[in-house]
Amino acid sequence: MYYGGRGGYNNNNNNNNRAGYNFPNGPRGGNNNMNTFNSNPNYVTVEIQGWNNASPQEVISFLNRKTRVELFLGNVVGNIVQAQVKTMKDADIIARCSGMRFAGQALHCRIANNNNNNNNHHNNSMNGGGNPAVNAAAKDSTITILRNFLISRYNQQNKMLDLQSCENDQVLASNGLFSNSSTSSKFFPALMKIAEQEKLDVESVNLSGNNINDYSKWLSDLSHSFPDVKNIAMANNNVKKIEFFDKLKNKFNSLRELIIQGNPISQNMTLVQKIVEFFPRLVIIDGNQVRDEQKINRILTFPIKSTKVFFENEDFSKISTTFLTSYLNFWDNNRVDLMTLYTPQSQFSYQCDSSVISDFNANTPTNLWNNYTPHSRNFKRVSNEKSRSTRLSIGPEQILNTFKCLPKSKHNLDTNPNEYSIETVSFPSLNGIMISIHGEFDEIAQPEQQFAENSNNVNNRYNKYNNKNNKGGSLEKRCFDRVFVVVPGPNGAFIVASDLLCVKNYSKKKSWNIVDNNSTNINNNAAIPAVPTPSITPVNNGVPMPPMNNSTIPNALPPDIASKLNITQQEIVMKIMQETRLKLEFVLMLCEQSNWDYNTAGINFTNSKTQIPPDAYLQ
Amino acid sequence: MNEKTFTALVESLDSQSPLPQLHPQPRIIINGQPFGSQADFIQLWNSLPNSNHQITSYDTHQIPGTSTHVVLAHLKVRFDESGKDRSGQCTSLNTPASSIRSIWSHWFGVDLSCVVEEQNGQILVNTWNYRFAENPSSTIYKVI
Repeated sequence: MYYGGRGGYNNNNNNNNRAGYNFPNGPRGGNNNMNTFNSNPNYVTVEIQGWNNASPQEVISFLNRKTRVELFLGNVVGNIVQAQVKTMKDADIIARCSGMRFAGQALHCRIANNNNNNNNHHNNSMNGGGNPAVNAAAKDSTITILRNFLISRYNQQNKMLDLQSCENDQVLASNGLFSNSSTSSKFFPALMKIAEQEKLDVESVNLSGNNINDYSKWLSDLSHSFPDVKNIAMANNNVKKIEFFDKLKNKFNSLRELIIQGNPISQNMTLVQKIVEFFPRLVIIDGNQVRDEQKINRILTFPIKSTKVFFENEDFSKISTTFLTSYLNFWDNNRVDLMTLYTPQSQFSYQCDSSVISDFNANTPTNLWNNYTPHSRNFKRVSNEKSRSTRLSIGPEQILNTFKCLPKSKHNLDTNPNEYSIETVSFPSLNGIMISIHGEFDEIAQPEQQFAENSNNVNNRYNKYNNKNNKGGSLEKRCFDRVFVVVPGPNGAFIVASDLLCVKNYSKKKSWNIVDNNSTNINNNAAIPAVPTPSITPVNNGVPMPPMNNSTIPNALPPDIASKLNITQQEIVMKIMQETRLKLEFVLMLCEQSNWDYNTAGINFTNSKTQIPPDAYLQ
Repeated sequence: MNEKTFTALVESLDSQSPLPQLHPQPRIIINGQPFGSQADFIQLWNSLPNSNHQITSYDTHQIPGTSTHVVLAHLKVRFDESGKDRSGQCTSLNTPASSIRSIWSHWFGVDLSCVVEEQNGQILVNTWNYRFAENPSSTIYKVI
């Protein structure tokens, strides 16, 4: 214990204090306090620099005189003198001597960061008091002790963490981890945090004999770190009340076996039965089987596993992947070009669904859905027939107008296909196919234009506060579902008869990603009744339908062409070639006719698309 | 197709007679897997625990000149996690299913697209594409 303090040393009236100080092993003052080094794993090592104008013995004597801390001289490594002190508090006192003048230099003292420098007064670090530098070092040391303890109690083969009777562990006890209620309460959360960091694969945990009572949070801490643990033994503790387990409902969803014998609650069979009810996958409690495990697996698991894609036949696989890749590419880059897919009878509408299923975020911006609410055709929200009617876009003009009012986006179907799932089935009444896609997209810019104000907001709950400001909706990552009914058009082109889009909150936990992504289901024999295969074939005639990659598009212009164009013109040519897939000579023709104006070229291309011969396109 | 009809269709999923309006040779795809006949579907559905479906959003297009409706809906569904199914079987060795109280799971998100024929006020479901899309972060009932 450090009673005097530096001020006391300079106080001539403080002699009584000094006289009362008790050094058990050595005399006070003078060189006699310098002990020989005998490395003790329970002592704390300190390192001293700035002593070079004197001898190591002299600096140790100096520090002893100044602090009354007993130091044991150790090794001298270069310009560092190592010494040991008995307690962390002593080490703290020595560390505070940094800056003290000794033999014409300033001393620099610090606590060495090693595994053995702890003692019974370790609670200094657990309590977080004192010098920050010292605390940081002590904290590192505590972490090391806990990590070593954890590893010594972990059986990798059995995936078992045996934390039985922790307080009886000599290393933990000797380092003061249970020296008072404060350190005891921090022990298990800290241990679990380290266990998480170590990424231990744990299926079974033994918490027997740890004085766990009704108010202990050990199980709750365990559930945060290892929610999927299957077996818990907590015998010989002191749990009496059912509320202890009630609080753990939904926290151990995979718990299979529980041992509670030796707790008062285990004597009450009614309460034991209640515990069983709290954990629906529990099979065995205190060695008694209480459930049929096969039935658990059958009843508590949805019987049909998710597969990422389904195509009714092989042709649909090619058609739908080509269609979707191309469609989303144009949707992200130039929605105008999609208009050739829509006829005057084509229908498009979107709905936004603001419900939160998972990944709840309390910091959701208030303008989350501003870009979608004005024309969302969610029948659960929009009940007025007139509103429903005005929110249905029919024909290319209306559809394009609505497209332009939706935020610009970026899909990653080609680069991150695991985030998407697709089903394609035939649509016999139109001799077409129905393509459904589910996935995610990023909103990258505000819409090109805003929805026109409309007065058909009767019964529109979104606008019940008459908030007409739908500008500046937040740009988010979102999930979506989209269904296309695609039918054969003239010259074998695609026509979208019906296009339904649902925009949702983003969710990371997509069901189809929890399973094997390799499973693909094409024309499963057990399945759908045979129907005539629609005669749709993916051709480019009249439709902006690039292939899955751009391998045929050159990366640069031929030198003879490039030499005749300025940089801006070269960029326009490359961009138009990418977007239209026209051959170079036709792109040059289009650009010249459009006076090298990119937007004009786009309009001219759209207007003359039906007259462009198929061989004008890159193959 | 009006809201009442569609709601009744979805709510039939929580009954002993799911989708009574199913076409005799329907296209049923569940979680990306095709499913055989109506009878197979009903047998499967009755092996599930009790469920609770709710529509969170839906939209529908009527194909011009036909009585065909294409529906895209987003649902949320939760299941009874107490360990008993609709047919009365339960996981417990000691307690009869009738005395086990239902414990509802967290909500799962489901995407539903379907094709429905509507004639004389009656509907017939031709295509039923039901896919779990969002899983809750913590659940005893597993959809994998």
